[in-house]
Amino acid sequence: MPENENITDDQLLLASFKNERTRDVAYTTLVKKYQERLYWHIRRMVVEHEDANDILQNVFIKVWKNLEGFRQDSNLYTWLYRIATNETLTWINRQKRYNAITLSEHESVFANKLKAQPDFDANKAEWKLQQALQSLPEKQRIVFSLRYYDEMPYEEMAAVLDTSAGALKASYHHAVKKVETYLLKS
Amino acid sequence: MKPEHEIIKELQELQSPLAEMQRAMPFHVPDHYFDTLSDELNHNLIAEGKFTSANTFSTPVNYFEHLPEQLLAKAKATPKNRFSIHLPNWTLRQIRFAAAAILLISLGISSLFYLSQRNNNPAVILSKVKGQELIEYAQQNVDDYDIYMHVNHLVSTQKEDIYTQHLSAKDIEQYLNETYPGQQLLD
Repeated sequence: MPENENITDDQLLLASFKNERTRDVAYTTLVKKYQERLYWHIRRMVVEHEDANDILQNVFIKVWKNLEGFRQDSNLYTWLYRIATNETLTWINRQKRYNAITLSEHESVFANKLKAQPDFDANKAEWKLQQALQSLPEKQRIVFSLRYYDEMPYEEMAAVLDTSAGALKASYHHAVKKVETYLLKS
Repeated sequence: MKPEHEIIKELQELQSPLAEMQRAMPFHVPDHYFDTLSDELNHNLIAEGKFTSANTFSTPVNYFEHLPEQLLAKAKATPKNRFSIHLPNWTLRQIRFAAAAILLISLGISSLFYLSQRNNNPAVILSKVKGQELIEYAQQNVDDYDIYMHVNHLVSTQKEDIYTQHLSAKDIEQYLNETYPGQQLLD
């Protein structure tokens, strides 16, 4: 969908949500429109479906609670990604605190979750790539994921992650080099 | 240019093998998950009474309208306490001794603070650490890849880098803070 058309579409959704009579329909439409993109954004970070589902539900509950007050300083799409990213990072940090694990142990926890996936095959390129992603620091993994998988322009990533497009570009290029090195080693 | 072409082009410019790789996600998702998610969410919201962003606690009707009047009435009804402070009948000589004591204590605390600051200077502390210990620390905490990247970076600074030549100091600082969170960066 072209960018302008998408923004108009989202503005209609917002207007419908603010109307008591059309709120439920608008909310369901919004969920259906963004659920897959947000789900995969979260899943790539936390690996397991159950965790991704829990986080995604929390994201959409927050959307329900806060959408009426959304002031459209940014567009809806980046606002949703911002909530999903923050919710995911909060969940990961809570897991670290709850399990009292160190950074290196934390990496191996996610690597093990990856290996426990039903179709995991260490010889397949797509699984190797996921293993390489798990070796990146969390924020760099998010940057890589938003650019490589979600094909997000740097300017929109800057709005999601509250940082400059230049820094994100450098971070992405660094992440690409790290992933390459991991793939070559494996 | 379509976003997917832009991503591939960028990876090709970086001469990355990722440009040739499939971007498919290998994870399995339960059947019909996305078909039923919005219904499940609605069900959960209904179960929780479709809470709004408003506070979940309720207050009596017109509570806030009457609160200022109630507070004012209560404040007026409370008898005023008359406070009087009785200072000891110090002589001028005692006050002089007290001032001298305060001055000495202040000087002592300042000296202690100054000395402790001096001892916390990283350069002073590091100069006391043995070379062997520093080497062991670096071996345990600095990743091979980090060394590789830093050496590469030093070499590549001689060349013109199309990706970093337009970076501002703020961009670099933000990037470093995100890549090495929680680490003290050297000036």
